[in-house]
Amino acid sequence: MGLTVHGDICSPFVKIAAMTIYEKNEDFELVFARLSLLKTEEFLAKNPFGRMPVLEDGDLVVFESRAVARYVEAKFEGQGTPLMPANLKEQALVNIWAEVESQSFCPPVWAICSQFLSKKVPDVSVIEASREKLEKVLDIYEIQLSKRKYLAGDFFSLADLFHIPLLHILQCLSEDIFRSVINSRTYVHKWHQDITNRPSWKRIISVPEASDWSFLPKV
Amino acid sequence: MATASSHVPKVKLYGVPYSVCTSRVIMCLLEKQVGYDLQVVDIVKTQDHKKPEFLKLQPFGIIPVLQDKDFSVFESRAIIRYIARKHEGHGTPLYGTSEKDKAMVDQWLEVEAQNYNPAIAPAVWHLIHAPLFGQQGDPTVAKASIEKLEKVLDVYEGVLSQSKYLAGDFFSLADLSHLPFTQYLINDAKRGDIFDKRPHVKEWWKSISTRPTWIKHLSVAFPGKNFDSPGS
Repeated sequence: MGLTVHGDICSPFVKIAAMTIYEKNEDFELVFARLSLLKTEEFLAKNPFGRMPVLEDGDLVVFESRAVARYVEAKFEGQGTPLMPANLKEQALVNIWAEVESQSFCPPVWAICSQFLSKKVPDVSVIEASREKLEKVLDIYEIQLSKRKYLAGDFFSLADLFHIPLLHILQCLSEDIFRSVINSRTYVHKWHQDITNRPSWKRIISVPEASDWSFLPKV
Repeated sequence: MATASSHVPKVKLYGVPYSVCTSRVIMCLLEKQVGYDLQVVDIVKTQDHKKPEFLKLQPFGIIPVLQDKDFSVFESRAIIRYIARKHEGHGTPLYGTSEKDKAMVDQWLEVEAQNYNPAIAPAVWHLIHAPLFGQQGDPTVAKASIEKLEKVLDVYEGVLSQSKYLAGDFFSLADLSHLPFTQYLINDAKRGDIFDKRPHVKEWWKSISTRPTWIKHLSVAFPGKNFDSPGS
């Protein structure tokens, strides 16, 4: 019995789970779930927060995309790409930048994307305020990435992976904002080109559904 | 009462004991019996966190930072993961004892970071901390934040009816991570009612907030302050 992922591949958080699984040279069955399907009793029994992705591995159910990624990495340690070092200090560096992604990078990016995804008329003041926050964070990334190839060191890790799907959705929804925050920064731009060149990522975005959010209702 | 193991070298912790994120780390150090020297970083008056010496340690200018000999770690949840992993062999097993336990701890630590924290943080800021930083708290934002938090607590109520703690029947990093903000909301903003009206959440809060390590931390961080006994 293999891994099952419940969700919709257009979700950046489902992509985190998918990319981690592919990096470990494993595969999974995607069980489609979207919108009202997330509120069924059956789904809520798996994730009481009613969100995707949910990973099923035999009897074990794991939700929260970053926790799913950590679980997959630990389960398939020793095969595929090492996404979390065994060395305690290097592990701490990965965890630092994974937290920076979670606490400082994701909120402003998601705030911008939410405006484009759910509003007929995006709120410019919300977008600008979030963009300002994001620029300050990326200034620090630029310095960090001028000293090392990836965020935690000269090795690709979960810390880098966690950024990829959010950068993708930002780029799809607003090429202008993406270019001005990413392409304008030499090392961030180079890092982005490198990490999105990985076969695991290319496989995910090769399907049109991965970049289609047109079904979402707009208010 | 947990005391520092004498054979474990002390770490240096940059922060202030009343800060939420510094508290998270202090609690973890106490649970793992790791001694520490607190290096106070004044974030109010002298704004030490914005000075070049601190920015060398933490480029985002945010406390806390842990220094373990020549190695520095920042982001409180990364620090507690580091301490829990490094000191797996003694103190409270904050990652549980099996691979499944660890997966559940990671999951609920993410829930805290992604669902609980964003719901509770604005309420604590607008109700308690904003004035300390010379700003006006917005009661409308606080109200919306508490409404969001109540929805999260509804989920917790269901989960905690099945297990004693969030990741299972053991106290973990996930439960620990909830202590600092929740303490502020209950004791300073006097919003214990939202926890008390959910019996399993109430029981869970009583259990985690009466741990001797947490009580010890509160007595140091807020000397002379009285805290309501949970469940009273």
